[in-house]
Amino acid sequence: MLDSLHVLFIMDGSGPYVWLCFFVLMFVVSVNIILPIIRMKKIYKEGRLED
Amino acid sequence: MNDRNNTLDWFMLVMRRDLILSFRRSATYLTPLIFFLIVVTFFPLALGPSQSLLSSLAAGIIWISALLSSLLAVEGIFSEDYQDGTMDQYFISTEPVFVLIFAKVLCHWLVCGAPIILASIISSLFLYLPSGVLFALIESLLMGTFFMSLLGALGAALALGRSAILSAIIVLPFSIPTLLMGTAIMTAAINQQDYSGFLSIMGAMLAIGIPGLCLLTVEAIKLNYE
Amino acid sequence: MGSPPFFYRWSTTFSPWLALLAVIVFSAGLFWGIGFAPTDYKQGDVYRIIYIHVPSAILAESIYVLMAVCGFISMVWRAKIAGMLITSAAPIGAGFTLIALVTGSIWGQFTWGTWWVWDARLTSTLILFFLYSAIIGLHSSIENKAKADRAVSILAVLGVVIVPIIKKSVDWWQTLHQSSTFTLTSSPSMSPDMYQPLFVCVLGFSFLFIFMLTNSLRGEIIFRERDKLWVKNQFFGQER
Repeated sequence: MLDSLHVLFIMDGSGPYVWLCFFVLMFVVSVNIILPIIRMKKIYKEGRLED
Repeated sequence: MNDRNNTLDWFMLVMRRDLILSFRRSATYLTPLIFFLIVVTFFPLALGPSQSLLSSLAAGIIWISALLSSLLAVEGIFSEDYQDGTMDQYFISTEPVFVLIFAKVLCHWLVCGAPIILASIISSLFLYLPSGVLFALIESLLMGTFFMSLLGALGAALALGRSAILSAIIVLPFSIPTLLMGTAIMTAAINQQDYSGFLSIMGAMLAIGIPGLCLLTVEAIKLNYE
Repeated sequence: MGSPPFFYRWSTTFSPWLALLAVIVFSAGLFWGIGFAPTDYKQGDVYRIIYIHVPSAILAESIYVLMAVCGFISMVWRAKIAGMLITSAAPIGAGFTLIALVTGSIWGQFTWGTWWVWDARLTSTLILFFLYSAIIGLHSSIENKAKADRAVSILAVLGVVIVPIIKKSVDWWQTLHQSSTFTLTSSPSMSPDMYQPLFVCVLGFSFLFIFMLTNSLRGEIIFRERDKLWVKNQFFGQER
């Protein structure tokens, strides 16, 4: 089990490249998902304050 | 002015007015010219005076400088007419507005683009451009600067009343096909190949661009009246 | 679909399911591709970047075409939601273009030994990124958002000429970059073991994009119509 995880992460030296790409992907995607949610929360708060 | 019922008459009228206005103020045609020459001069200063290096880069340098200066020149094309209400009259008039806009752009190109082409002949000496390709340079710049004027007019209309750099950011990515075509023509001419194909593509781009970009420009100016 | 309140109500029901579907297909594709697909005999394991790179690049271009279509709709029929769609799609498209550029550059560093090559594909993707930036910049500079939508739709329609040039440019000056491995018309030149996960990845990325778009469009609708009665009832009135 540990062995196969090791293979998955290192991949004969090309692992860091692949996982770096993966983190870039996850970062950009999550920024694009989280920012609209934060924006909606902010509008919600401001709208409640007005009432 | 009752006899002026023809669209062509209006076209000529707008052009004459703009030509007179820009010739009364020498800054309109001198500043792009001087800007062009300064930018061209900067390249030998930055890259060193080596003749072989400059001669191989000359076509690209002239093209980039011409694009930038015709873009900067066209940036304020509508702002005065918009502020003093002339633009309102264009939109109120019964003539198709895009014809009048085309007259403005054409006049602007005659006043600002044509001097840049003349200056490019001088700068081809500065940069040791191979003398055989001068005709190709003029041919390609004739179409290229006109296309840039059309594109720049759209950028100016979209960024009306906003910063000049915004209009540059909007327009520059769209000018890349023109730049690629222009430099392809120059490379072919330097290698003594037939460049008429690239020239035709550029002509086709211009033929689509004149009505298309003028219509989009009218749409963009209209946004300011809502 | 046309009216913002209808879309908001519709998406409230469907967006959780969409998110679930997107997460399942997206992670299945990536898991299959990165974890289980066979190693390439020429490039080794680094080729697995393809499962991130190619779907992002496909999305980067298709999102621009989507925006151009919406721009046309918003110019001709003045549909409010089409304009909002452009506004919400632009940052997502820019994000996928950025992913395609960065992953491509990391891949290039491994296989070609350099971070950047002035090849047709790379250059045109960079131009696509500039086009997205121009749209985002123009939109943020105009205060009146309905006006900004229409200004941006003009730009999106104009920019659609650049997407065919991106496609064509590969044939024009093809250099280091390999030609397209992924077409819908002809059979792929990859082995099915590698090709199938890629297909799942493209599907998963597309679902993810649809979810992201819905999510951001909901925010945009609430922002634009925050003074309208239906927003007061449905959005602010939830917990009263």
